[in-house]
Amino acid sequence: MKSAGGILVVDDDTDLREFLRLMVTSMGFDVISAANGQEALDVIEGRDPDLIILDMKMPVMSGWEFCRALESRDARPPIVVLTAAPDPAARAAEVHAEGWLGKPFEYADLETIVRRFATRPAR
Amino acid sequence: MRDSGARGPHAQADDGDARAARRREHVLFELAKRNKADVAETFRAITEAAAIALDAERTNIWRLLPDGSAIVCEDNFVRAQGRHTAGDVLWARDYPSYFSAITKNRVIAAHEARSDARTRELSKAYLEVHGIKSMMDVPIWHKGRLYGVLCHEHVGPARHWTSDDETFAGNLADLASLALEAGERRTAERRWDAVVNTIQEAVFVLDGEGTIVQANPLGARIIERAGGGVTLAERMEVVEFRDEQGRVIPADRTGGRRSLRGEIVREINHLVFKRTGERRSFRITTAPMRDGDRIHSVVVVMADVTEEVAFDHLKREVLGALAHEFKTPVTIIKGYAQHMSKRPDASRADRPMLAAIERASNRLERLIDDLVDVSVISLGRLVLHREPVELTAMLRSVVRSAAPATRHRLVVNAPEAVAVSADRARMEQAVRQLVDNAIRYSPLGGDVEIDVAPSDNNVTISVRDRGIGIPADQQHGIFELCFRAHAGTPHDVGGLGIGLFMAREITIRHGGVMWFESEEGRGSTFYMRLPRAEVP
Repeated sequence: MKSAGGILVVDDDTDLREFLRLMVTSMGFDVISAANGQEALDVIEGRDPDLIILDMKMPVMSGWEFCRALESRDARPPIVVLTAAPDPAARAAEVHAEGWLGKPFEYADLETIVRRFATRPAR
Repeated sequence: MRDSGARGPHAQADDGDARAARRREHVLFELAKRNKADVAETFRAITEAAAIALDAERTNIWRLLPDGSAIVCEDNFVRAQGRHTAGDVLWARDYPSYFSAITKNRVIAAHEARSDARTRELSKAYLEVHGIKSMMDVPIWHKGRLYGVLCHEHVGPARHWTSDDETFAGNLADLASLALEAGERRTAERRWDAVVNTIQEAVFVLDGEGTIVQANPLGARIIERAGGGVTLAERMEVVEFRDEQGRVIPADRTGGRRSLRGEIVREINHLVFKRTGERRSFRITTAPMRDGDRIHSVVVVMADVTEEVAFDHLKREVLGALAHEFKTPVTIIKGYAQHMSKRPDASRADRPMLAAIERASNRLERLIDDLVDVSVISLGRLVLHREPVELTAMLRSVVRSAAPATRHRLVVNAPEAVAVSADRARMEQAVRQLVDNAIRYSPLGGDVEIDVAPSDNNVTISVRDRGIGIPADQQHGIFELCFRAHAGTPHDVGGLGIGLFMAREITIRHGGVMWFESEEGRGSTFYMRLPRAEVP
């Protein structure tokens, strides 16, 4: 049985990943990190996160490839696309994501979107 | 029986006259039909013909210097020697009466040249030297001005020039004029050919069917590279024309066809040579060539700009990529600064520094947004997601967010609701730009009035400030990319100078127009007119 909850942060930038971990933790949620789509796939084998915050441009497996890999599954956690693209909404629509965060974002934006999807704070 | 002897001498004179007349006619005919483009050669032919037909010992053509100070001998034929010379000069200051006579453009028929008032001053230095008794000068005209004279000089007993002689000499002088014209035309043609053959552009002339009837060497090389394409149909077979956005241009929309319909077309086309698959970009200019109202052909000038286009594209891509890459570090810097300043254990000394970091990141963020905008616009990738947008509410929200940071009074005069069909984020960006500018360029404060004036089909938003205004000499460039009015003055606010460019571009993409009125020292008013949305 998979363990449930927490927020999966997928980004190849170590500093940004660490920053997101710190921010989301400070909001009172568990955070699991992955450096690319492949690592993220490995994580969700054993865990069912409340939300995936997903960078798009990553080595090994990009955000697009990751989303395609999830398409075949019956259910998947909600995804928020983290993007520096000029049109983040369009980027989110491309992969049927539930939301988006445009870089650079405000702390408040992050909090709003995290609280929308993640309702189970860390124990 | 009639005395044939009685008519002898008379008849002989008649026959002689008739023969002379026939000879003159023949000479004129031969001269008229020769190619006169080589002026020196034609002059030689004319002097020889004049000598023979008019029975003159010396015949010469003189060119009057433009300032009238002298005549220079271009060709002199001496019948006895059968040879041509040139180069003699006669100065006006030495022979004022003669010059006065020739510049008055009359035929000078001096039967007794050494006593004739017009020519006698030539006696010592010229007439006596060459044994000349009589002379007849006729003017040569070129382009409505006196070019010089054709001169017939008779050696031996004085000679009476007849009016037939004068007429014939006049005809010869006309032929000399024609030679000058033909020579000038040939020089111009040669010069033009040299230009067309050496320029770095391909030049074509197309006929009314779009067939290439002339091409310079560079043009010929393009045809060669394409493997044909002289006729329009063949051209569309071997080359694919694409516009700047990469769309295929149909035969009927090529520059050549459009110019046949009267248009002057300047555009960049990407050509795909189907035979080899090679792609090259050309800046193509086509223009109609008219004969009265009728367009009979089209001139096409093509400059290969493949390298420039590729580099330009790369530049914009790099710009976009750079901006993109900046975003992650700015997210981290700004995020931590915000986070740390909110922590209860942040020290009083650290807080202003954290605030400064945050402000700096905000500024970086705006610059990055500008860079992204430039890249998006210049790559033609601005995509609008239109939806019904209520302008008044949008304006009030823009004003609300601007108001706390300024000491200006922001006044909105707007009806309850005016809808447009717009990309909300982009439209807000454009409006915000106008409001921000009004605040920024009225440093002493004062009212900023924002009016919304709907009419039947349009709505006009105006933003008026009482600020420093735009100097008249800078107004022309205000909407240009990277143009910054007040650059280097105390009013220089930094930045990339793309705000108004973007605002106008966004307005245009929404089917609207943007303009302004401004007076230095009194303020500016910017206008934005948009089509109103259909109210369902």
